[in-house]
Amino acid sequence: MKPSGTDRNLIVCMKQVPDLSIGRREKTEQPPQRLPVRLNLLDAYALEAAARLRDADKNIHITALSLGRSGEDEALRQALAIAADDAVLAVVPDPDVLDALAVSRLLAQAIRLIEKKAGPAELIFCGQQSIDGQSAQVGPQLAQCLNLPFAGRGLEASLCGDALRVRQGNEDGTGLVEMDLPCVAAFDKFPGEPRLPTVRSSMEASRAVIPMLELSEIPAPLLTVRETRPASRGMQGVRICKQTGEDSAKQLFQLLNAAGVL
Amino acid sequence: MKKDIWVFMETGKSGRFRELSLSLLNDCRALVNSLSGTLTAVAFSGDAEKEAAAAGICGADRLLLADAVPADPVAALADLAEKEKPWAILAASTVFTKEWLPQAAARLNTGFASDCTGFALDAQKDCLVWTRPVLGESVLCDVVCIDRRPQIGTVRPGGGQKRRRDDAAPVQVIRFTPAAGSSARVRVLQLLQELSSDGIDLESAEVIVSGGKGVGGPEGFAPLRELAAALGGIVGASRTTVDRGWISKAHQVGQTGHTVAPRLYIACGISGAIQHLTGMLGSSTIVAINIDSDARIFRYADYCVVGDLFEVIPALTREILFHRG
Repeated sequence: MKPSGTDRNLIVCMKQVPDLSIGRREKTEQPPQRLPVRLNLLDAYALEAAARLRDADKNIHITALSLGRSGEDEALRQALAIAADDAVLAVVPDPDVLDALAVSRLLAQAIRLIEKKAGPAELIFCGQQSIDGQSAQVGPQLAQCLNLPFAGRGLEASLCGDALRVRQGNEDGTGLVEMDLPCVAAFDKFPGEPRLPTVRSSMEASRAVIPMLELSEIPAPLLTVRETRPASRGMQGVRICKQTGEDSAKQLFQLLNAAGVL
Repeated sequence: MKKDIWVFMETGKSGRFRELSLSLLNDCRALVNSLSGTLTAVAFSGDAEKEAAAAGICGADRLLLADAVPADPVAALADLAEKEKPWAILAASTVFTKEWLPQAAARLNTGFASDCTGFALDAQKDCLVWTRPVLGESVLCDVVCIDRRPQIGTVRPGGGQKRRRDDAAPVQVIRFTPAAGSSARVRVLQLLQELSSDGIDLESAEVIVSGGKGVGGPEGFAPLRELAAALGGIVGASRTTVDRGWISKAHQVGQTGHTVAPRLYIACGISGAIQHLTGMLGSSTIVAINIDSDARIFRYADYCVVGDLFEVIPALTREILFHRG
């Protein structure tokens, strides 16, 4: 579905991530791509923020964009089923070796290619961070690559003429900022659940043909992984479960006192 | 040429360098010694004399101080780094550094290690090895930036012992004029600060007694406040309690709140969502109290108390006060 001439183009960057809610991984040697995947939660919130903008102004065309291997389009299909008007997969041979800056540069490349066909992207949304990489870098770096203003920690967005207003979560409250279009915004979890796909939209999405973009320049990652290991606090915790809360508290006190923690 | 390590100093509302930046200076001192390098505090604002003294006590050799607050911190830092060529730039991981520092790294075409739990010198001393959590805090990843300088990263406030130098040589203060860059393209329209009467400083707290959904409501924090008072600590909170208006945001610990690393963290009625864990896994000792014996937080706690927090917490407070008396 191509946008009409008067539509504002809004691109939502989505990441396909391992589904960490499904059981516990028995061995950490299991390579990430074998795990079941899902749409990164905060990208779903970015999509919801985009959908809310379109609820208020139907002249917004939402394109979901993802970076991945050929065929890694599960997250994009979910996005189509939920709210995206169309989707694009930017194909890279080996996404696992990329660092956040390389990802940002590739997304910027993809966005420029999309703009050649669809017109300028006035709004670019993404999740604040992914559950797997956890770096929160792609939003600000993508903005830097495109030379656009950036607002992160978004809780709510609204259009005000040719500007985007974003309510941001700050350390001790919230703030309201405004940026002229085109701009980039990253979203956090905000009140209200993101809308869900319908059975019908899911079926349509599963049948959709998702165009693939071949990216020509793959930047080498500047940050490389030397080693990974499971994060653990060492010894398993001491369990206290007495008959009464009072007794548990007494035992806890004794243990903490003996350990010199108090 | 001596390797120069920079620590970016964030300024708090008081105008003084924030404790988490000063702690990071402290944490870098030993590393700089083994490199025979220099440790430079870099700041965009502050009183030169006071802050040079503060930075000196925490280990800095020099203070690079802007003569005016830059409109474009990204351009200012990138320009300064291009001129001065530091070996590495570190900053405490906060909501602010997480946003503009990666952009400076992009400008400088260098690797950026975000939200690290630690950093160390590589065995050959030719690069830093950054350790950062991934996959929902379940895996630690050691990353390096081999080919590009400066190496840049943000570090979560750590529980490292604070060693202050009393015999610090006077810190050399160097003023710089920040590059102009582009004028502010993000206009701040409004700032809603939740006022809290306690003057909370979660980042410096040695003891935090934190409440989650299990406290049930604003009144549920009362026993936690008493325990915190008995321990000389501060009350913390999970995002759920803040979202529900049970306590102000200033108390929030977690990904969208504060990252803390106290000596003792007592989590009451907190289930252990990843976003909360991110904020407190740096604590030296973690105690969790939850009525649900399968609560996720028990996998991360050193002491796991299965029980009703409304029985356990007041009883613990009584024990502490009794033994003190």
